[in-house]
Amino acid sequence: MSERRSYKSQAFGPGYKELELTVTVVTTLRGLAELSALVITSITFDKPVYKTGDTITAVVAYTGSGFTLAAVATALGQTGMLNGTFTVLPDWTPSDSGNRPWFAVSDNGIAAVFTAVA
Amino acid sequence: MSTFTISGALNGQTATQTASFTVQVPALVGAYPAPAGGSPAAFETQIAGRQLGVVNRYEAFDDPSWPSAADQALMAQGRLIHYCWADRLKAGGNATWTDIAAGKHDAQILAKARQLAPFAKSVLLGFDNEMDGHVRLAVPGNTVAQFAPAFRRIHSVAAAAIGGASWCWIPSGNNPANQAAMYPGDDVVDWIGVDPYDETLAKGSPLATYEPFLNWLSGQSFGKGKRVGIFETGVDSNQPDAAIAAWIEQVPAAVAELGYGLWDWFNSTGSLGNTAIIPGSRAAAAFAAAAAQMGP
Repeated sequence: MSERRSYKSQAFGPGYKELELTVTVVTTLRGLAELSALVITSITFDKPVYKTGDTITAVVAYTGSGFTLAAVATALGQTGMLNGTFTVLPDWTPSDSGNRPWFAVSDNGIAAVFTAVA
Repeated sequence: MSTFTISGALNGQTATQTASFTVQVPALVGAYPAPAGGSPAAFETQIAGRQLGVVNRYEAFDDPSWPSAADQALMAQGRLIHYCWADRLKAGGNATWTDIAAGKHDAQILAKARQLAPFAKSVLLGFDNEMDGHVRLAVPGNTVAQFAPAFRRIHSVAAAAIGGASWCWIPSGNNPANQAAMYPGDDVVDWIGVDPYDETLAKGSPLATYEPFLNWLSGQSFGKGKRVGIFETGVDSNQPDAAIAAWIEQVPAAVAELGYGLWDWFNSTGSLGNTAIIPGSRAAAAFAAAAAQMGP
């Protein structure tokens, strides 16, 4: 994605001619890495066996939600670049064979935590 | 065993993964309560030392007398009744699986369903338990291939009228080759049960007695996530009292370890063997102690 912007500057003062300066900055945003597929790498539970009424905590580890974005700006023949990372969280749908309601607790981009009542 | 499924959607792509976890539900404690006075109350007083969670009954296909007033009172007090709804007819003969599957007994099925309907939530309904054994298969018109269609026919006719009952499929556990072919389908089964005995104590422990069926079941494509129960079990009362007691003492741990949701003692001196626990015996004390450690 590119964006072109022009900035016009005017300076006035005694004995000076009017000076008009136009600087064009071209900024290009590009992802440095290809978008990778969402991959669920593991599901772990906090206990091997639950009793009725226990809280079940499931941790879903995954990859594919992190992206790096580079902003490249060009102006006056010079180029500058700045990288930034960001995370897009997946939309999760948890369920189980016992039809328990599952609730999302947290998601940090590499692990999502869900709970239910046994 | 429960299965957790997680699906994620990101950037137009989806990923799904599953994993299993176990919720250990305290096992129900039940019995076929003859002959300790012949009543559940006597068994509870003399053997179990507590109220049973489940009482077993074995009823004829067309007998209108069940659920009896006594059974209704048991259910009103919080017990479940496990009815083994047999294909035998009250006047003799059988409602064969072939005939049931063909719809020839639909009226009787619907009538029984309507009778059970008011008590549905207290009913564990099995049809011809131990269908895989030679006794059931000796009936002309009963074949391995016809059992599942018969079970499904009963369910299709009765389920709407008796909504809320739990449907039980209970083979003997002794005929793996027949069992798989006789499973009626996950859509019509709530409980999968088995009747494992250690008559002579040759198997050595409840764990050794109860584990083989689960091993078999885990290798099948069906039954995943179903509750599993021991709907009959026992040790021959001719075995030494101390040995029976020692065996029963191991039951709570075995049932919990294996994840069975029901443990039901066949307390009978009948023609199928004598597994009755003698009131006042060490075995009776062990039973009460075991029952106290288990669920409702």
